[in-house]
Amino acid sequence: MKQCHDIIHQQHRLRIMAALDNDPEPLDFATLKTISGATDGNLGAHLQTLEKAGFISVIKEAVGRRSRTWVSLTVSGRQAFREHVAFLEDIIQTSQKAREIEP
Amino acid sequence: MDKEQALESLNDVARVRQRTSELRNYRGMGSIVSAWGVVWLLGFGAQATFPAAAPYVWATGWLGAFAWILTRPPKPEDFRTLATWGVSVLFIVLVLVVAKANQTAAAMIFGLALSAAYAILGIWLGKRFFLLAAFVLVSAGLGWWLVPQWLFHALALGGGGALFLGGLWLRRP
Repeated sequence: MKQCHDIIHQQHRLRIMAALDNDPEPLDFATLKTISGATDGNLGAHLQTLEKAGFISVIKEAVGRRSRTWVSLTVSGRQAFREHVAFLEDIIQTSQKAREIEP
Repeated sequence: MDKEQALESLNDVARVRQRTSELRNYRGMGSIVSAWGVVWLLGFGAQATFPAAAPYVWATGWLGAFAWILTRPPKPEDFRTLATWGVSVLFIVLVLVVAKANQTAAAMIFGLALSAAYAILGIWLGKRFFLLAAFVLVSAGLGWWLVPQWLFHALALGGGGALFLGGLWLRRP
């Protein structure tokens, strides 16, 4: 099933979702920061947006005096990401078919 | 959204997936590499300073490292991975026995074999392993050609130290 999800479409959020979809294990904040290329503040804001949409779950774990943030995809988040990827693939396939039909 | 934007987004997804896999591999291997670094540091350190105790230090180190690998997450998923390493080590040991290699030649050959192993990991799992391979190769090479009387020190400090610090570095995103 294909569907465009505007929340996921933003570049940093797409990267976050792609990284989390890659493995069932959660990823920590620092790894997501490296992968997404976002700053601390930006990443926090994007995570909040995705969490509000119900696409990710965020867990804070105490490590000594500091806390470590773990992020994982929810079931609906994984489904939404795959629908969005299917939507992107469909755009390309439709475009290729249109080109083949052209005289 | 047009075709170019969709293609760019899909390429971005593919790049992120590859990068995520690389970082996971680094994190999974980091503690193992550090553990082997400690074994090298102690084993070659013992060969350099207390040769009589070296076999016991090596044996303890190898057993300890295997226990560490088997209990640390991620646990080896496939017995064939451990068996591959086991066969490789056994092959090198038998070659050394057949060739009647002395202790320094054996140390150098182990250094070269480990360097090659990390280079292969670099091909399959991520580029950072190439740097570890280079450190071990340079340590062994410098010790062997420039200061042969200090070969064990070079392998302990250069090889073992590089592996220990390299393992910590691998765990960083």
